[in-house]
Amino acid sequence: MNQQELRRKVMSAFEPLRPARSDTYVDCSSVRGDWNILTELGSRIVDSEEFTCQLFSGYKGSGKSTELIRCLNDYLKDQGFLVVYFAADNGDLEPGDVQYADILLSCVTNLLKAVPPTTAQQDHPLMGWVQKNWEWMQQFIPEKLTLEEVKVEANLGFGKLIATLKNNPDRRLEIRRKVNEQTPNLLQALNEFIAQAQANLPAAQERGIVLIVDNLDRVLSTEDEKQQNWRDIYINRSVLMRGLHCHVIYTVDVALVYSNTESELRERYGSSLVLPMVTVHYLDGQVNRAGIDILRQLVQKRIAAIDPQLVANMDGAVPDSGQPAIFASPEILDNLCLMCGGRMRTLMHLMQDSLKYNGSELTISEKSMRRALQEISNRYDNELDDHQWATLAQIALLSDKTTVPNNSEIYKLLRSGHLLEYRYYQDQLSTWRDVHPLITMSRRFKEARDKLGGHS
Amino acid sequence: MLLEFTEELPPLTNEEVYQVFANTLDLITGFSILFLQCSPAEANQLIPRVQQDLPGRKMGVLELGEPINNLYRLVEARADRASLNVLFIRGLENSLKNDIKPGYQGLGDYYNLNTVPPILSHLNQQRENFRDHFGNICFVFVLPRFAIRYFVRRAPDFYDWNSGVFKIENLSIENSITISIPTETWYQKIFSHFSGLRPKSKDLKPVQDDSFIAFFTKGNSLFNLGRYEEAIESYDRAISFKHDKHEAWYNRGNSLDNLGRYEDAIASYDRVIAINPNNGSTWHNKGGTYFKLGKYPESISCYDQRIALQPDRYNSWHDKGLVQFVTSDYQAALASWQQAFNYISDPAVPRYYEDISGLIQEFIEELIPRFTQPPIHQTLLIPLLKIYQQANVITELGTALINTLHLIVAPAISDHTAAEWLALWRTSSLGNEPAMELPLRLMSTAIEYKKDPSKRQSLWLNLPSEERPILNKALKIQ
Repeated sequence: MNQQELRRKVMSAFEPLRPARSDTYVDCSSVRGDWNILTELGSRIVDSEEFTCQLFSGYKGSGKSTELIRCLNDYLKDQGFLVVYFAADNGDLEPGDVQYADILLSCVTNLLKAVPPTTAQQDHPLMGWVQKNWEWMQQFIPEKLTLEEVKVEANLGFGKLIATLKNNPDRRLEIRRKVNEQTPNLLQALNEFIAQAQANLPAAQERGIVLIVDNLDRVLSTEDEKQQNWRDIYINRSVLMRGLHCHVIYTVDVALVYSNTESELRERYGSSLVLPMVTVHYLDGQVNRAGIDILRQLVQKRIAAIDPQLVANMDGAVPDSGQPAIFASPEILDNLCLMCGGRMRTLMHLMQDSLKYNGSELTISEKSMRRALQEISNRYDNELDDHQWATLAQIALLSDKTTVPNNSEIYKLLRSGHLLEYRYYQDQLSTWRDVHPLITMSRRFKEARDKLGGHS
Repeated sequence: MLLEFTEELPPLTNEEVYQVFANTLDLITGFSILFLQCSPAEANQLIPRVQQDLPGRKMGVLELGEPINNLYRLVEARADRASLNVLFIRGLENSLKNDIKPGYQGLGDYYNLNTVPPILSHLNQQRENFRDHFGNICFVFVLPRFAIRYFVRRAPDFYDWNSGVFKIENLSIENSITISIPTETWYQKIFSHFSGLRPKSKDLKPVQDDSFIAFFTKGNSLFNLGRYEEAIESYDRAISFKHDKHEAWYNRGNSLDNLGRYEDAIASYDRVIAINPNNGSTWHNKGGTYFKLGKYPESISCYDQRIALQPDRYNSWHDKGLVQFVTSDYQAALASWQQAFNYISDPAVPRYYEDISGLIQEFIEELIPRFTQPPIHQTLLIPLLKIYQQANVITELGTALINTLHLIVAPAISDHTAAEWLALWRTSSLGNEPAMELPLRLMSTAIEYKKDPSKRQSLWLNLPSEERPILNKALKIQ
């Protein structure tokens, strides 16, 4: 592999847009304040005699989907469950305009895909429902389909209905009205179908189905004028949301978990779980070596996935190894890990940027690392409004960062990743929030802080 | 264990930004989202250049004239979509313009939460579909500044996925106007306006005028802080009190230009011209705005208007020459530059712009990507050097050459091309000028260093010791 090919490989190994692959996944629970998705979400499912329905939340780019896909999925499979995972914004739903009926239909098609009925089961309960409702369903399907054709492939009818729902905004209202009218019996048919499917699962999956609906937080707009929408789904329809006869995990926007709806949500779903950042520094600002080391491991695994031989030269070329170094010195990666604030997506961006600013070299130099940090921090100057800079500066100057208030302004900053939330467990749990370290490098942040009289 | 950074790195020049951009396109092998902040005219130059520099990458351009609300389908419909590595999306700002409404709410209705332009909610929500169905394409959104700020605020999920934002800065514009007012009353007026107190003194002008001054001054402060949206809000308020103050329309035009809202900037400059057609700076800046839009004939006619009013403002001659150079009209460019340097060398003409080498540097930066094209040397460079000689700006030329050394030794430029650049200056009629000696020596050393960085010590030792830091600084070596 020549140097340019190798650089391209490194670049794509840190592609920030997809959850980590299984060979590059690193368990970060020890440095997320002992937040372990297995123990928290997983054990509720494993230990429960009844079907559970839980909400899961986290900040943009913190590794939410990775934890759901990698950690929880694998764990539950080992425990004897069939995990049906789907990302709500990936295909079926038209984000920004989603209502309960859409979610229900989406669950139906994804379950049908995951546990397809055999030909012998052509008359399964969902098919029965389609038969009863075919007359109106047909009106919303552009192609000419006969009931016989639909019977052969169970998902066809629902799939087409969802396609119309997604692609034809004019007809959405009508479809939803129809589905809403039929919700109780559709839910009942779905539950009968789930019961049948669970009864026929192989021994390795005998504990039943776990349905994970990821990215639901993204498709449901949380803007003020649409608040009614998610309220309607999570609160008003909670009986239906919780009404599936299998374990369910829905993702939910962080802003809701921390809003005044929190108690209403807790009443209905138990306490929602929020994934914190990797603790790269302690509450008092001291660097947490363990956090940095975990992130180093994360980088190392991605490098090893390209070529295991590269790992020996991670922090400087070993003489005569014939392999180039990835970083010119160990401090460079330490810095990147610290400055990403424990936020996974930022670390990926920083790795890519360090390469970009490195001319045609592979080995990331101190200079290109500094350039990457500076250019990313400059970008924040464009992103925030005046009052937000003031808020961030105030938080940075707080002597006790566990006292950052809960208000809509703070959630907005948490949601956008400008403020980060950490948990640390030693004797007791502390949760605190701090300004993203890259922001503290930016010009406008320094101005705002100096205005408040802080020169730390 | 951690490194301490005390000082900031110097900002990247446009050419350096270009090279990082090209490097990024070369490194990215699959789906990716990049933003390129530059004017349409810059994009006209840059896209063909990067296509030429990266022949192994298949690139396409999607031009959007009319507002759209679904980008996915447009990409899907392209016959070449499976074979593309890079797709430039141009003109998406047209889909945002309808959303801009005047308002008096700080940042205005720009980023008003109630009005998400449909295209942005589409992108925000379809990003996984883009990723999963166009896995081979690196999308480059070419946008003016205001549109990028729209993405940041109104499509945060989509924006969060970007793998880079590259900014090519605009040509400099002439300064905004301040209206001088006697200090005492100025403070009183501002104070009374913002504190809500009534003016104490009876001899103050009517409230309307106070309000104009107050908002105009506030606009200028915001402009100086680079907070252009808010500055525009203030100018709009100032204008609502007094419609006929060309100063407010002019500064408003400059703010719009800085945001990349070029059509609106031109409309604002037209208001100035309607009130006061004899303001030279307005014509100059309007010419620059047309230049950025790639509307070259309109740009030239604005510079001509400026020149008719104030022929000795040589920056307008110079910028007019740049427009002509960019459109390959070398004869005309030469004639314009001849005029510019006539005025520069005329002792009777005051020096409006101290930084003559800055002017020359703008030309050198435009020249570097094209200097290997044969006609330029004969038809343009040789006569231009004569002009420089006559105008006695060789020292300034030398400074400009040193200031652009890092561009010619950049990794993206081949050793061969760099050597040709050196030969070009050495064999020119200026090659033996004493003022060129230092620049050419540094250039030669820099090019040797580019070929083999390990020889740096011996190369530097051959330089007089006082010249070494100059070269270090030019090459940004610490």
